[in-house]
Amino acid sequence: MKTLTLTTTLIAGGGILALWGANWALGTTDLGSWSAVLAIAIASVQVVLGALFFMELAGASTSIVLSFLTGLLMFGLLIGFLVSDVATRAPEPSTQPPTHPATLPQANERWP
Amino acid sequence: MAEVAEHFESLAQQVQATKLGMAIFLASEALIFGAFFALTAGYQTHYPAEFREGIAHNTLLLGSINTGVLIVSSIAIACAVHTLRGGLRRTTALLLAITIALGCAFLAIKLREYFIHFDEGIFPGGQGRFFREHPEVGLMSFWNLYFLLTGLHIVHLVVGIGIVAYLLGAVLRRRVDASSAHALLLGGMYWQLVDSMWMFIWPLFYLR
Repeated sequence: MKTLTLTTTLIAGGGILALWGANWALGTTDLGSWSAVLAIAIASVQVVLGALFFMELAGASTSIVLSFLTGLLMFGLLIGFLVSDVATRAPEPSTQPPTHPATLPQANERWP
Repeated sequence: MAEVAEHFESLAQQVQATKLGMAIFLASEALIFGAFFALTAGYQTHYPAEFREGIAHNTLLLGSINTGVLIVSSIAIACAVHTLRGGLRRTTALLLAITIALGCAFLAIKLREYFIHFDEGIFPGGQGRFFREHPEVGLMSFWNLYFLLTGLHIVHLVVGIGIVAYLLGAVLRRRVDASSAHALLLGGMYWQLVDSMWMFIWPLFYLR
């Protein structure tokens, strides 16, 4: 099992801080729907760096890495299924009841 | 000197087992937050305009400063593991003290944010004059999820501060030393999880 060095940890920390600044700068610009995607992507990179170098997963055994990856997979499935469920739902039905006056035919309308 | 429990063949095996146990625990903690992140993602998909409005109304500067505070605290405790392995007990204690101080600073800034929200009439549960003036369901959902996630994060942070404080005492009393640095690593792993969860909370509720 490889042990990481203090220098590696500090470099990773500097990288995470740089990504923090980038994310903050990104938050002040309007990129439409891409803003959220990029912000979460940057956050994901920060978390991966923290997991690899601060939690020392980079030098960890296969079983430990597998535990983390399984948790990530479950998390990804949860987010993915929920968002796709909400995004693909049909529009909500009208809230007006069928006997609402606005839905009743007018007196001068001709029916087939 | 680290003691090896009788059911382990060696210290290395014991360290491996404790790391695996902590990894499984952290994965389960991440799933707890994951459920709420999924809920947030669902509501954000359903009410995009209201969520943008809620984000625009949030305290971006304080939230961003808090993110930097937490990152620096993670660096401090990660470095403390290395200094303990190198036998630098006082430096390790100093770094742990810095971690605790930065954790408390995060709490203070977070409380300041909460008081700003309360002054504006934004309370958990959709209570307050802000929601009487803005009765949109999406906006209420945003703020409810904000208080829920940040409140859950605060609970984890307080536990993390307690853990790091315990480790600081153990280092000062020489109960944790270079041969048992994995104990500090386990505490650091929990602290990293708390930081990692904030890495997602910050863009979800503060960044456009």
